Amino acid sequence: MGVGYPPVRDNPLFVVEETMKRRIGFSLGYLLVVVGALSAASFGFSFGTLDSHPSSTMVSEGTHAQIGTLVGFGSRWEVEAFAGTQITPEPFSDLVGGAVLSFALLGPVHPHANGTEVPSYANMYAGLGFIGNFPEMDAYGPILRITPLSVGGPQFVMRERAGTLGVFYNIPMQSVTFFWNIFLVDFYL
Amino acid sequence: MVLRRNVIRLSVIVLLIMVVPQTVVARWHGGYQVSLDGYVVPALAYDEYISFHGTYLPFDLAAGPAVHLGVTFPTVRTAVHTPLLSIGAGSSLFLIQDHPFDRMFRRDSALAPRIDTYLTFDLGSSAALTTAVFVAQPLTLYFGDKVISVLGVQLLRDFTHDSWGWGIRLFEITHYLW
Repeated sequence: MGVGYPPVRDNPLFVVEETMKRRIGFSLGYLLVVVGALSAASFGFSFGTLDSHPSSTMVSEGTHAQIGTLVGFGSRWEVEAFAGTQITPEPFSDLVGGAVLSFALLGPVHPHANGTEVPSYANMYAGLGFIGNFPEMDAYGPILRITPLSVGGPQFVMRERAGTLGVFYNIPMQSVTFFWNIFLVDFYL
Repeated sequence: MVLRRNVIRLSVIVLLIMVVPQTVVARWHGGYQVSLDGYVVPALAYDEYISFHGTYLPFDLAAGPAVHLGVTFPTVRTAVHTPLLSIGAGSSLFLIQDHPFDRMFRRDSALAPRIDTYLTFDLGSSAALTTAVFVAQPLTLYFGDKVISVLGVQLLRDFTHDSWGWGIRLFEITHYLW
C-alpha cells in the first residue's frame, strides 16, 4: 500500500496548496483585526442555520448550524466571520468557514459617533466575502450574499436575519452554486 | 331617582373593573410556530426539515400547555420524502425570571424550559403514522408574545422501521397573535 510513491508532503503541489491556505487564513484574520480597530465598533456574535444546494461539494447532506462573530463599523458596514458545521446526522463532521463584508441597504444600523443618524429597525444587507471548507479546501471561492429581511440591531441588543441567500463561485470546480441561512440571530455585546 | 343613578354608575364601574383587566392583561391564546430540525431516523431524510404549526394555549397560564397542528417537510425537497402532517402538545415546565441570559435582551424575558410530543403522519401516500417525536428544549426564552428555543434535543420512535432515533431542533420560534 503506497509502495513507490513519495510522501504526500514532499509533493510540490501540496506545498503550494498549503501556502495558499495559510495566506487565505492570514488574510481573513488580518481583515477582521484591521476593520475592528478602525472604530469604536459594535461587536456581537451570531447563531443560525446553514444550507447549500445539493450540487455543491461545500457541505454534505444533513443539518448544519452556523456560529460567527460580527464587527460593525461606520454606520452601515459590518464584517462577519463565521464557521458552519454539521449537527445531524454526524455532529461536527463538516467544517465550513468564511468572512463577509456587508453593507446595510436601507439605512444605518450601527449607532454613529456623531449621533446624527438614527439606526433603522428593519434593514436589508448585501455582502461580499470568501468561503471554503476545512481542512480539505476542495471547495472555496468568493460569495455574494443578500439578506432580504432583518429586524433589530445593536441598539436593540439583538437582531434577526431571515432568508439570507448566497451565490458562491467554487474556484476548484469552476462552478456556481447557492447556499442560504434560513434564520440567523445576532446578539450584540 | 338619585339611588337609581348611583346604582347605574356603580354597575358601570363594576363592569369596567371586570372587563378592562381581561382585555389589558389577557394571556395569549394562539399563534404560529416555525421550527428547523435535523433527524437521524430511517423514516426521514438527513436533510434539514422545516415545520409550520398553528399553536393554541387552552388555559390562561403564561407559557402553559399548548397544542400544535401543522406540516413538516425537508427544506431541500427530495422525491422520496414527502411532507408530514404533525400533531403535538407540550408545555413549559417552569419560568425563571432572573436567568443568566437576561442581560442579552432589551426586552424582559424568562427562561422557560419546555417539553413537547408530536405525532407525524405521511401526507404522501397512506397517511400512515410515521414517527412519534419527544422534544426537550431547555434553552427556551419566553418574551410574552414571542418564544424562542435553540438547540432542543429530540428522541424519535420510527413506526415504519420499528426503530428509535434522535434529532436536534436548531430553532423554534413561536409568535402569539391573539
